[in-house]
Amino acid sequence: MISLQNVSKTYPNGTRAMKNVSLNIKKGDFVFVVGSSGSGKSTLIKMLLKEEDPTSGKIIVNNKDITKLKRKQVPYLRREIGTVFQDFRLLPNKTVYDNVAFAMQVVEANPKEIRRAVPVTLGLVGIAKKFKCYPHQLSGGEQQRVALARAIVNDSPILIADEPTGNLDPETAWEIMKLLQDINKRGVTVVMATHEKEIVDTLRKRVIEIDNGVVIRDSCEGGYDCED
Amino acid sequence: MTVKIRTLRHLSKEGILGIWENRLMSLASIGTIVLCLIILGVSFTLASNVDYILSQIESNVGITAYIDDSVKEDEITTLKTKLEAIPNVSGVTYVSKDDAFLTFTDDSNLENIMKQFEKDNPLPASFEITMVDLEEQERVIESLEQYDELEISYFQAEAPMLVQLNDSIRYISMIIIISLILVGIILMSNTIKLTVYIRRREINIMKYIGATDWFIRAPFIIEGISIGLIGGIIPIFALWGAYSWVLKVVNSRFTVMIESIKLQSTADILSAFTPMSLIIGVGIGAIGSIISIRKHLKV
Repeated sequence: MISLQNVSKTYPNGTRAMKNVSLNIKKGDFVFVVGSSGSGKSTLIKMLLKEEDPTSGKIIVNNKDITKLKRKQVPYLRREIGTVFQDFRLLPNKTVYDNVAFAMQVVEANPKEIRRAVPVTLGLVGIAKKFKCYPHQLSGGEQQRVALARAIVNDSPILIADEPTGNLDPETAWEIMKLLQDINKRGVTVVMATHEKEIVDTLRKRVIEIDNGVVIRDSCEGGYDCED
Repeated sequence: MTVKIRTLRHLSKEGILGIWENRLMSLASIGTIVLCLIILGVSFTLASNVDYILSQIESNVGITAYIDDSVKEDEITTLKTKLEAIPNVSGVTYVSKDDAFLTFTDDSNLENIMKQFEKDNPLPASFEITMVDLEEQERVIESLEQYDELEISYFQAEAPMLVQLNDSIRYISMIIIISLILVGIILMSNTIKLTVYIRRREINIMKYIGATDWFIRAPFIIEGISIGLIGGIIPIFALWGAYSWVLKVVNSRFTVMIESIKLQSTADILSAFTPMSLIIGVGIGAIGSIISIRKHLKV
């Protein structure tokens, strides 16, 4: 599903954020990407969304070499990838329902389909009751649920979550983690960048640890640290 | 296809909603465009009236060719046809000896003097020749000088001066209009830039969801065009009202003074200004919004 081949990234200011990284993520995988800030974690996420291009190497997403994509094709890549961020990134002047519906309007979905899929998805993430609320009327956990609904409403095969629990208290964080696992069970490939040792240690999923632009560990059922 | 139309409708709604959501900025943009176009309208009205008046004066400034008394009556018609055939001549009017005499006796100051000549009219018959283009006067005169039976009299200095005045008025109003359009575009792009800036988070989110550039751009362009359209309509009505009032005042108070010179009618001014105002208004709106959003699409 996602494959990096000898990817290096040097920023114009000389920072070498990625050094010859190769890795494979299979369809249906649940992968944690861990590493301290400045490790290259964010660069990896940005390159998967084609916000940044690698200096050398190939990145293949859903059988397409995205390093060769033209600017015009980038929106179509992003439709294959649902995204969730630490700061939720909901549209403040739209209701919960409209925020999720908006993701479908962007891909020019049928209105009938929108009316069917939005309530179903809101139910799936457990926020259906608050469909009329605006983002500022919701708690952080609720906002992240809406963001999750928006990320999956178009049935994208990949979900990228960049520190999705970073702004949440531990209890709410676990609720979001449970949802992410549910989404993964439905066949969506989940890539989650995180700092939270406890979550990574407990869930025992595949962990890719990046440090100083290099993959220093890629273990199938590891915790946050290298001890096991 | 139906999908596209539905999307377009959705985006138009977003764009028009945008005007209301940012009503203060929209008002500022509309005001800017209205101001630009009103100034443009005034300078256009002035320029086209000056042009119009000059063309009336131009058609009055002609060449007089006095006819030698030896030329017989029946030869005059042939001569007139020949003169009419000279390039750039727009009209030839024959003034007979009697006509010329009558013109002078009409003048009360000269009446007594002229009475003495009643029996032996000393005034020659003449042709009044008008030209299409005053600038080409020299050539017409060269042609006329070939006829020995004609004595030519014309305003040597006035003709080029009028042409020059006319040209400089055209250039100056052209410069004013072009700079106003540029100012309009800059102000418009700044206001839309501010709207874009206020909504940059929204644009960013849309990019992550996978919105195409056109999907993001369209509401802003529709917003810009609508603002430009409103800004283009208002000056038309303003100019309509103001110009008909000016015409009314001029016609009621100054008719005696400027009997022979007319101002352009309101219909003439409006039929030229309406498309100008609408096209420039919409153009400023569209170009301004396209310029200002370009930068924010690079995410």
